[in-house]
Amino acid sequence: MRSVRAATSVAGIAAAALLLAACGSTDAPIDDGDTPDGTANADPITVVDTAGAEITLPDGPAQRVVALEWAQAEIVTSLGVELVGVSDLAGYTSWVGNAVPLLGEPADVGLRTEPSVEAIAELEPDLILGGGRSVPEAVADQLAAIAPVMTVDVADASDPLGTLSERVDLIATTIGQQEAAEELLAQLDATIAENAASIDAAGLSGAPVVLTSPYAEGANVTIRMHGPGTAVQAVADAMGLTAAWDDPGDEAYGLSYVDIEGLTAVPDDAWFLYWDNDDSDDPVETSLAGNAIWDGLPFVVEGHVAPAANGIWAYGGPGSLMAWSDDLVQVLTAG
Amino acid sequence: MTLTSAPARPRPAAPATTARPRGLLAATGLGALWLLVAVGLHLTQGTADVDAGALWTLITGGHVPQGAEVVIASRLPRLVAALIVGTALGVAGAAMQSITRNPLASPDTTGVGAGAYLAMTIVAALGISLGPLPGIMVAFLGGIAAAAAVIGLSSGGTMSPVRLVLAGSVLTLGLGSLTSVLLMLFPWETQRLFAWGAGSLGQNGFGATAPAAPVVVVGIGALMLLGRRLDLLQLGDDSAAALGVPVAATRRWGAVLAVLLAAAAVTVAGPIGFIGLCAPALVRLLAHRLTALRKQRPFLLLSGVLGVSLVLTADVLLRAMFGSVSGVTVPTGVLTSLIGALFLVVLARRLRIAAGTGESIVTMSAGLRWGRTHPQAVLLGAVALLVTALIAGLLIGDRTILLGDVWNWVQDVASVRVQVIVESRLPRVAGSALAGACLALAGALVQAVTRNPLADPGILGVSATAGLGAVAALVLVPSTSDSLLFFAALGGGAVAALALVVLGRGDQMRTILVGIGIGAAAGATTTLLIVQTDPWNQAKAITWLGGSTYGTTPALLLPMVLVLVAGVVVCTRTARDLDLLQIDDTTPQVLGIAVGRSRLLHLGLAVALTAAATAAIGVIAFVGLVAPHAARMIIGKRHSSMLPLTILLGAALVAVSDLVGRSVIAPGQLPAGVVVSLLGMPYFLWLLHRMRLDR
Repeated sequence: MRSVRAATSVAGIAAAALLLAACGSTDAPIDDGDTPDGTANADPITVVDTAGAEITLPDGPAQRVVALEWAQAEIVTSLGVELVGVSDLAGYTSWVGNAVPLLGEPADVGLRTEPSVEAIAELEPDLILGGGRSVPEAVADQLAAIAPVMTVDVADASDPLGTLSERVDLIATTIGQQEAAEELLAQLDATIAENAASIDAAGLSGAPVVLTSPYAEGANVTIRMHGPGTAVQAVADAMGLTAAWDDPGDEAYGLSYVDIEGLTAVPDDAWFLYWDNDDSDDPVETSLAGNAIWDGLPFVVEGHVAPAANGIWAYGGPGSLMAWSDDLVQVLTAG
Repeated sequence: MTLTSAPARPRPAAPATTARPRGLLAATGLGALWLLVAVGLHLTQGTADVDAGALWTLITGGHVPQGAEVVIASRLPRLVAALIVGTALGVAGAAMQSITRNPLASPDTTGVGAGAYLAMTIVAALGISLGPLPGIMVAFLGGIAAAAAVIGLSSGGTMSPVRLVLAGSVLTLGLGSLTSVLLMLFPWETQRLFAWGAGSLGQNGFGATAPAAPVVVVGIGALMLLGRRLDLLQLGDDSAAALGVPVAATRRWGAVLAVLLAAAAVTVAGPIGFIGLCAPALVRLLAHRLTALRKQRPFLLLSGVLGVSLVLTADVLLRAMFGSVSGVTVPTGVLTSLIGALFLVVLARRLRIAAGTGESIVTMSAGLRWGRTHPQAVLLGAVALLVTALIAGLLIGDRTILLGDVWNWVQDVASVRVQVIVESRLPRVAGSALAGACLALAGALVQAVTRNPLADPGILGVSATAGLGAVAALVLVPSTSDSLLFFAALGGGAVAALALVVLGRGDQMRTILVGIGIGAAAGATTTLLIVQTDPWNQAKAITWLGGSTYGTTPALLLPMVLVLVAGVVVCTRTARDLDLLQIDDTTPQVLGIAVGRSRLLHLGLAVALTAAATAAIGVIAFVGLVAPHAARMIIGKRHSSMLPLTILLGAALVAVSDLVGRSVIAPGQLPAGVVVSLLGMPYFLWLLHRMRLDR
């Protein structure tokens, strides 16, 4: 058939054109004698990451860091270092940006669960920071060919704040910002202490609080509860408040899920704070208000329901937790 | 009332009929009792501290703190949701089965759930958070559109039972891919959609059930009015028309009402799977004993009642098994899908399927004349196509590189950047092409052996069970090695194949039904595994199940290479056997081919090919369908030339899909399998449409 022959020749021409266009190169070949410019004469740094792997930075503190998770990105930024790449840039801005805005203009390296190896390679980083879940096993070797890959899990429900400060120190070591880390952690302690005083002064000591995140889809409402093992609750506890939700949740993040009727287990005098975000609708207004159980809950009747933590990452670092601590005082003393 | 069904099947007044009603009465009584018990149990289950004792206090006028509110705003809405969903789905399924005279028609097989879910996902991804009522409208429209497409595409004058199921399953698969893309691109906006996609009965007050209830009541009422016409329709189109029934109009209105009911159910609870298939089937089993049930009105109504029983039982079981608190995150629809899918398998076994309902490969168009006379030229063209696809795949991605870069890499003088890009991309390009080749060959073999032009490892559930095996290994074993992944997938695929052979008993229609059932059950179990482990695994699992080359390593490619080589070697020797096998059973037998052994050999090969591809890349559907078809259309049905073309086309298809997936939303990426589905679904539906016109 003529059309097939025509199609074949068109395809052939196209292939030839493609082949011609594809010649050339985007990077010059490297000479053997070529040495990296830059005068990194610092001593090598060796640390053990949270996955138990030994990480060595031969040229001393990392200068070009890519963060595959927001918590790690936030910590690096809080320590005053500009990232060269971060996962899901828009998501960071929306969910972490109010607490710790990014420095400089890092590139987007793809989804948090599926970072683009190619985008990272292009940035020529000297350190890749990730959480356990953000370094897919399958690409671990490929990433390691680009730069040392350090896994730093910052969450542990058995000791959220202690774990976090340990991990901040760990990250600080790799980017040569130990002093900044000390300062940051001291700042966190000071902020918590200061806010604890405000809470005490407002007569709110011992008040039960919980940070929640209600999701509505179709007719179904599920509420994510930040239990006693979460970092946000640990901060609240340190401020003299108490946990309104005692389900321990999962081992790392301390999260559990419940439906509306399960909220009857929240103490009558509790403060029900729900995670706010500019890019999402108010979940309480759109789905909880008007439900008979919700409307009858003592803390709802009392008016102890408020949006909180807008643009503050509940699973973040000291910067987010300080912002959360300030937010708590503001929300609880506002009404 | 009693006039119409008698001639359909005259029954001699046997003494047995007098003894049976007593047993039947007992069964009905037990059923009713269970329904009451289930309602009672259902009301006591929940996350709040309102148990049977508290309920009793409330009923007798006592006071329980928050008790009344919990019962009114949570327990009763969930119960009512179960009632509405069960009734609507049961009746909808029964009605669909009646108008199509197809025991396999149901809301699940018409894509209503998938359509509604996709519509909800689109709205969520756009960042529009709708209140319950507009949300219902959106789901409703999506469901109706999907159902219309399936019924429109699969029906001509009459609907072939399996064709409807096929069209529905394929549309569900394709729409599901589209949904996956959205879920991956908008993880925050759509975070709660994954579980909901499997159907959850949890209710926020009566907001969703209140608008749905009147729709269901009106829908059932209208169907009751159609009852007599439906009775007559069971006699066959011609007899019904002779008796004055407007056949086309009856069918059209019946379909609209059934879809309306199903869509209403979807808006209340999401797609609660397979109730619409199971409930009427159970009633039909009863109807063997009780003639009165053969009439449409009682048939429809009892299907509704049984639908309620099934939904309630599943919901009670679910929360008894997982506890009320973790029951919040486990969708009820997973359980009904699991039960229902297995039921479909049983149903397929019992079903007497009329011979010759299927389309055979033999009756399909036999290739272009030019293609048949110049097979070498066609194959050469396909090789060129594949090579172009491979080169393009190597050069294009998140970052584009040029041939000079590759040449530098070959000479080992490339920069680190180029080196990483080439070395991470090479296994992906090779993996996608190999997986495409494996799956295409597997599809061609299955089609030849089953003589079923629409058979595909994806549709037959082999891919899904292989995927389940791999995901189970991924979730349950702390650090999964590549070889474990392969053997887990192989184990899963082999189980499916064994079930297909044993339960399908060589009948092509039955085999497809068994396969669809197994696939759905495997899908539901996979969902359960993912939902029950941690929510952060979700993205990874969707990616993986979507068939992604992300992170493919050379080691993962080895099983594919080995199995593919084995497959090619075997097929060069058996190509002629396959030519004969695709005609009928007797021709090859006469010519001295051991039909049973040959069939087993090729099916085994297909399973191994599918498992190898699934373990490396994940679940990819449609390749096994599209590639053999395109090959057959171009070059004809002779396997000696058709199989090589199939392999080349399959490899090129997946390689191109992978290329598209890696580059369109860079630095993000779409799984190759999802892209294949997006390309493959239209092709398949077009194929179905064309085959309709041929008849």
